[in-house]
Amino acid sequence: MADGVKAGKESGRSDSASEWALPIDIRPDQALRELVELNDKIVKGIEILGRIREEEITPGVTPRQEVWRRDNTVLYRFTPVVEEPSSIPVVIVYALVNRPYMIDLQEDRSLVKKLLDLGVDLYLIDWGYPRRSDRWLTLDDYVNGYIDECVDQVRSEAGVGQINLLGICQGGTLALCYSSLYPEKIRNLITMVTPVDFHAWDGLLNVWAQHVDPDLLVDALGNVPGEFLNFGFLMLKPFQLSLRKYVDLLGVLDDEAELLNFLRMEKWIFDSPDQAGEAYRQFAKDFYLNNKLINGEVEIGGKVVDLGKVRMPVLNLYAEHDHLVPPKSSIALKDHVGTDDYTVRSFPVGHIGMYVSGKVQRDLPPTIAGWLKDRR
Amino acid sequence: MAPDFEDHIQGVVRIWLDAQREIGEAWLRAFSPDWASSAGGGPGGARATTAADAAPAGEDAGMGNAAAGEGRRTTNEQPGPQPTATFAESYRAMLRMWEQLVTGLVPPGPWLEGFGHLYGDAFDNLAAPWFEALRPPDQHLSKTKGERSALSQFTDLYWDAYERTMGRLLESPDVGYRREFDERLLQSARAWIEFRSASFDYLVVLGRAWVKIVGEMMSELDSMGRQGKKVTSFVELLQLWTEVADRVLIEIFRREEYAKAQGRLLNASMAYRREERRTADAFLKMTHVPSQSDLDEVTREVHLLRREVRELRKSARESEAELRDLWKRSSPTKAQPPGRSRPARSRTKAPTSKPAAREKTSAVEGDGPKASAQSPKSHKSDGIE
Repeated sequence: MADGVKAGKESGRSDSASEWALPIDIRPDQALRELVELNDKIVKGIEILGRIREEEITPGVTPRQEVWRRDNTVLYRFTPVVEEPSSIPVVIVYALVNRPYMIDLQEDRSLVKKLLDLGVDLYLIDWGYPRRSDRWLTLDDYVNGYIDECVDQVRSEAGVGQINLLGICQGGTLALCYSSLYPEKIRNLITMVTPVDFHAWDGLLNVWAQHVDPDLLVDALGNVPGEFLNFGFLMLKPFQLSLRKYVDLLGVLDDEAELLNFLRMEKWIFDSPDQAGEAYRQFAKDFYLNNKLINGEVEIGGKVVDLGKVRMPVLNLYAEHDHLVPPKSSIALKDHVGTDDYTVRSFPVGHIGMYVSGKVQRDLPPTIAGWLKDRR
Repeated sequence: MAPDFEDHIQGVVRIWLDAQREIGEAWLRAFSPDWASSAGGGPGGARATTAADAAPAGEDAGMGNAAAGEGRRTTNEQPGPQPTATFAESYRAMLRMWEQLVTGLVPPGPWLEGFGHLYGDAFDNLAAPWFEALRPPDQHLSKTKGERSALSQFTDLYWDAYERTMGRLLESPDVGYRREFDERLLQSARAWIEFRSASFDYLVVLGRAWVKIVGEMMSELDSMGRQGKKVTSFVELLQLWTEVADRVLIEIFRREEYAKAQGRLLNASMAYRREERRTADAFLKMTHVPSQSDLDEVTREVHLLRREVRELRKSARESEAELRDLWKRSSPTKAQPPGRSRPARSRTKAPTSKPAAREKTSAVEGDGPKASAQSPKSHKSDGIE
């Protein structure tokens, strides 16, 4: 028995020895070739970088006009490119945590441009950059104040009683709140990568938020710095977003178009506004910590947000590989809205991919435009 | 009297010097690597035996127990004079010196007998936790248990020693004119200590994560080797490392242990930041300089006033609209009610020319769509108009 075991062991050792090979086989000539290619790219890249200026990566390529402003908040209308745009305009409500030009990043990656091409009359609410004096802005100011006034402005300009609302990410959450408080003003609602259930534990942000005291944060800092949020987002995939991304950059250094794409994305990632303190406090406590939205317990300006009052048609778009807003968090909307006309559509991309992926750029705008057209 | 007094003083000084020398030698031996095993010379030549053997009995038990922990070894080697006993003896010698000095200066009495013991006991209570913490690390590490790492529990020994001795006294309410300010400083110090403690714990968790990443990387390479796969370039190696590291980190980041450590660190740093600001406010108040908090109060008032103005305007608009409706209903033949009227808006393409800027004082008004002059910090230009 012992001999048999010994023989078996010896056999196993010899088998594994023949299968196992040193996994790292970086030959000197190969490494040298790689180094030479890299140096070549670096030299060309330096030459290209020397020509690029900040103005070339300033995003927001589609012409637009400022039609309304209050404090830091500006309402823009994108210049229609068709003779007769759709009769009911779409107002985009973007998140507070990033700049909205992500949806209009460059010519070939612009959700805005594609929607305009499809005849959508498009407006955008730009939240600007909160100052220290904006520390006292609350969700009431944002929802019952700025969004409501923007909606009224568009209704007045367009001569319509109702408009379409497109909320993106946290903007979708705000749009949901607004739609439940003012359903009579909203014809159709579209939510894109929007968190609804903040206790979907697939999302790291949801897990981490449970152990952070928002009161301490706001009392200590006033406005929550954009850099702080950036750091949190980077920590979700630390090596990929802090190291590998820049190693991959070396591979495209000699391609001016790719380099410009990278630099535009980089600008958007780190161009994060501060969060108005009181609004952040309420959002973190009511939504992240206590998940009040789906429980119908959120109060904004003394009015309770009841998702059951969202009875207009809803189109819910989410990303299947979203690490910021997990699919479960978005999909939960279905169980809480009061509408019978609920459509959900997913795309096989991540959170950022929903804005810039080529595949999504091809499929998403027609999805939105077609859905709206059927519900004029 | 005078010669006796001089002799007395000389004797006291001699005892004091001897005591200091003994203490110094004891400390040097305690911190040398082989202090417990050094033979000959001064006290403490041989290895210590168990704690029970090392602890002297009787009135010195308090000091002895604590001091006997110093340099304790669990090996059963030759017994001999305890190095730690030297500490006790040294301090006892010093106390005796002080006692003799006092007895030389004042007439002896029944009160003096207890005097030395009183201070001796008090000193025992103060010094004992520190002697306990200063035991060799391996004796502490072997006793640590629980969720937190041995290293972080080990550092707690010093925190505990501090809190049981000086910390306890510092935590008590202060007295006097500076009472409030001192309390503010104490809060800041407390917040700083908590922040450092939270930082350390967080780094321990991250350290464990790194160890796991390296282990997983080795496993991944081993698995590749068994499958005959190879990494043929540095970029591939880096990609593999990135995938493995992110995978491991994300798994660790999901754990309650990490989330708690991170949350504790963040909360502690914010608490310290808040105390820092409050302390700064206190300083600035003394110098009649406005602080950030003062400005925040002003902006808060402005914000509330602006909100009130907006609500009043909104209310006025709604009332105006209602009046207009009433007018229309009551006088259907009349074309227009008195008051302002708005021209119909066109729905064709928006005008390309930018409207004239208004004065900045009208920024609070919601009526009228056109912009006031942009303030450079409030809004960055990021689009083409």
